[in-house]
Amino acid sequence: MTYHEAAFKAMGSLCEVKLYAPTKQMANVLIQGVVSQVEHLEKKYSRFRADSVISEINLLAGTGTTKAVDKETEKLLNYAHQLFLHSDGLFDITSGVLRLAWDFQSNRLPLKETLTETLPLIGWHQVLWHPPEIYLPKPNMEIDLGGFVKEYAADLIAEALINKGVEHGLVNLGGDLRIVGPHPDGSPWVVGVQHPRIHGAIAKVEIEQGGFATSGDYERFMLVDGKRYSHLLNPKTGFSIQPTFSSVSVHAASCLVAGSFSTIALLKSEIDQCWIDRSGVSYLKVDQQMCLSGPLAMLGVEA
Amino acid sequence: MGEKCKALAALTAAAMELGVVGSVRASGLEDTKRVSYKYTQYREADLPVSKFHTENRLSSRSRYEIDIHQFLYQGPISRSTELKVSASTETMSGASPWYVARSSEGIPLQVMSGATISDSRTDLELALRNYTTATREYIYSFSYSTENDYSSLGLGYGFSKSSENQLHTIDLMANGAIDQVDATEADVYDRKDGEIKRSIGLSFGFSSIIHQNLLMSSSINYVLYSGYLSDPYKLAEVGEEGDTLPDSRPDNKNQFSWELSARRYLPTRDSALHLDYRFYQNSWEVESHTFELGWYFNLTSNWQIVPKVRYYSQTNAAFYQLFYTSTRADGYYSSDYRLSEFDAVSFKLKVNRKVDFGVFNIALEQYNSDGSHPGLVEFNRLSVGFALEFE
Amino acid sequence: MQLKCMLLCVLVFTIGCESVKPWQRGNLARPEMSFAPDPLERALDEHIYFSKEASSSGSAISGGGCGCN
Repeated sequence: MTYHEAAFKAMGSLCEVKLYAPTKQMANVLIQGVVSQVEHLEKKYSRFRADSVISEINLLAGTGTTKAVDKETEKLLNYAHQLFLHSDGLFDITSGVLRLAWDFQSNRLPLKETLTETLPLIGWHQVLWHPPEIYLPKPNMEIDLGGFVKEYAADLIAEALINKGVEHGLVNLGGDLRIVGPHPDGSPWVVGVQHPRIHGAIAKVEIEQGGFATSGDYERFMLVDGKRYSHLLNPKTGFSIQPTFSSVSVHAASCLVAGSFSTIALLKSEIDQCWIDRSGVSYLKVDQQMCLSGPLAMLGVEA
Repeated sequence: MGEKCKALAALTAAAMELGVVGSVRASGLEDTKRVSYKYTQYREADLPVSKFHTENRLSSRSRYEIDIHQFLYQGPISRSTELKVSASTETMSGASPWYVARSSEGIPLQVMSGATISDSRTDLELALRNYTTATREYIYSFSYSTENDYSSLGLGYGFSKSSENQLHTIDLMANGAIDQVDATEADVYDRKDGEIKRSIGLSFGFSSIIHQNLLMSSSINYVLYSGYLSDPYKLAEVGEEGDTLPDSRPDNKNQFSWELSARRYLPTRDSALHLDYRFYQNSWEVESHTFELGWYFNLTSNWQIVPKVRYYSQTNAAFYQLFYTSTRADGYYSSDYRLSEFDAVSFKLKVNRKVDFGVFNIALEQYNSDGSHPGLVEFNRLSVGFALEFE
Repeated sequence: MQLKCMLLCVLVFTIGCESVKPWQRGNLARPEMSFAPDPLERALDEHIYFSKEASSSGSAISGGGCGCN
């Protein structure tokens, strides 16, 4: 049993696979399988690709024609529905159109008129979702599964590796992690948590199994008059959320649930700082003063 | 449960639907639908001349030739219920053992029926598996089969429960069947007509994950039969004059069996070993042992070969004799080879070819039995089939 | 005797199985590790052997049919 790793670019981020396999040849076959699985999911769910399921749904917006989706997409949309319900509407897959109003490259806040025009296009509650039929009732409405498809992919890949007999390894899709199983000697993987303000890790945690994901205000943002405006937007107001925390990392059984909770925790922190405390998951928060807190055990803090 | 924990429960449930955690389970409802078909032909070897009684001009040494088509559909019909429908048709023709007579030297010889017998059999089975929780399921089954001279109706009910960690599962199954025997040409040959046979079975099973490469299961089963349990087409020679009497067996039979199975994966050889053992005992004093060993060897990721060997050994029924020198007080007579003492060995070779959407297979079997009865059977079996999976 | 066999068997089963973690069950999920990888083959085996031998498996519903020879 030897250690193998590979890195590749997919879904707009740097991805890596680490695993133990009996031979180099077997490891290569497994890694090749991972890469093609990610590419398949990217092709299927990217909103940038005209032939993706997402583009097909979006193109039919306001046309009067519904789109019947396949089983997998149906389950993803059901998941999105649950996200909407349990985040009180803050996690909304229709909020992508706000990017028309927010240009994070410009360092300028969006015009009030643009926001007023965009807001009516947002709201999962407006979407006609009668599984497996979906219909976006207004022209230019859009859905985007980018908020959790990467996490979902990490889980699927890990499960596929388990089914192929891999017991020790991890899958990392741009910081969304899913552990296949601990190192062969039973020791956990050591995972770094990104420092929200500088390059490098702010903490390290040990993870033996399950998923681990982090959401932060540093992923995309702009400074206007010294104030930080992050890519985390409130779909109800169209404004950038001012999260109490600069990042929240969550450890859960799956990467999908971990990612969803870290995102909701950040979106909610503006009005409910303690939401994550009572959610039942294990987490690590970094506040705006870069102070760490939460029940997730840390190995050490790096400056 | 607090408001926030509800979110965790709801999202975890929706995530589970997506198969992102624990897709590997001991059992559970799968999304895929499966359609399988198999064609089988098996040919019983002609009775050897040395064991054949030629006195009856009409009789034939050519035994059964049987062709079977089997169909199976498996798929979910709701979030928690899976439907399984299986059907098969079987056509057979050939001669069958009638009774055992003695040659002038006192050697037992098989008297066969004429070669004209041909029959067909159709059966249908429906089974519903209902998963009430992740660890609990109920099974309901219905079966019906019919042939010219025989029909059978059965019902079953089962319950299965897994431990929370999915390492152990217990199964309980109860079933019952009513069969009716209407022997052909009953009036001509004074055979039985409209006879009923009932059975009730109970089984209890336990299966476990022993370690990451070993599964084991064990079950005990009781079946009680009552009614007409004789073979309407068979006779027994009774007395020194060569007279015959119809096959006649007790109208009750209780059977017990204990089965043990192990499945062992060998990672270094990319193969799985199957070992099955069954101990069987019934109130007619038949006791048997069955061993089956199979090796599922993955030649490549698409080709799999499966050699199997099966050994079977049974003792004879208390009232069985090749022929009876005098009448019996209890009135039971049977010289059916299936109630004699014998051993049987069978070799099977199967090849599976996996494709993206399922598997194709071909299998060959040779079965030989060895004992003192002249009518013991040998046969060859050839099967070709496929199983297709789709969403 | 039979009962003892059974109890012994259950005892053997429950020894040392506590530690199989979910991520270690990949091999167990392989189709060839199933108790009956080919249900049609299993059903026909039972039917054919039942028609040639005095024994039968647990389920009373093995489709009946005595006329096979």
